[in-house]
Amino acid sequence: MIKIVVSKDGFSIDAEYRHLSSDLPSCGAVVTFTGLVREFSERTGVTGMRLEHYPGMTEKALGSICAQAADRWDVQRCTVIHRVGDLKTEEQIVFVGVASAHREDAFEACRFIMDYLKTEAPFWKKELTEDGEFWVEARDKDKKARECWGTPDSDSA
Amino acid sequence: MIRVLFFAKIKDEIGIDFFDIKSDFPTTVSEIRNSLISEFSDHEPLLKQGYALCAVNQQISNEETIINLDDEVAFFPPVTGG
Repeated sequence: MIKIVVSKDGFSIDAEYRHLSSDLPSCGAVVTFTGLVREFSERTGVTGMRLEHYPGMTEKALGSICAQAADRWDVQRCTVIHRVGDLKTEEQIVFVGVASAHREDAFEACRFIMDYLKTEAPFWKKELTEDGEFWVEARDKDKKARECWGTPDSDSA
Repeated sequence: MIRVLFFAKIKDEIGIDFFDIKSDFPTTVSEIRNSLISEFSDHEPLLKQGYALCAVNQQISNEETIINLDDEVAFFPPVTGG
């Protein structure tokens, strides 16, 4: 029911949609989110991103986030794909898809997974620009989005 | 001896993937953090509480989390995926 992929390879939204919805007559809604590498972030002139992660912990953290979503909402299937390595602008970087009986559950669970992924899954972005390479710093906005879900912050560091 | 893994900016700035620390067991995240800061004092801002997160056995931990021999310990910056 939960599919987690961490890979250098790209992914097909169409194939992932079919995986989420096929042979599932009780499913009434599929919500998907796709994140892209954009040309501006902390700096302008971004030509790409390098994604580092903590192999092993990454998969565990994503699995735990999906399991929490399935505890809170009706989640029939759930897919999280996150790419690592070097990516160019406009490339797909992350995919979250949730299949549910109802749209409210699918929307909420998809957003919850994305908000938690941003603050709990051990990925780090480095911007590649014409002026060099720069690590991206975590943003309060992401932490606040995650705190909106009303669960305590496990990061007490 | 405990092996501490580094990731991302911490790994880049200190310039190593891991560091082996002599320690009595059980110890805590706080004690390991203090050992790292005294070893790499030039990089204190990257290692201090409030910046570097610590995972023990691949779970985000707090300062009081107990570390035993053979536990997997990692220090890394706040995460920025997605």
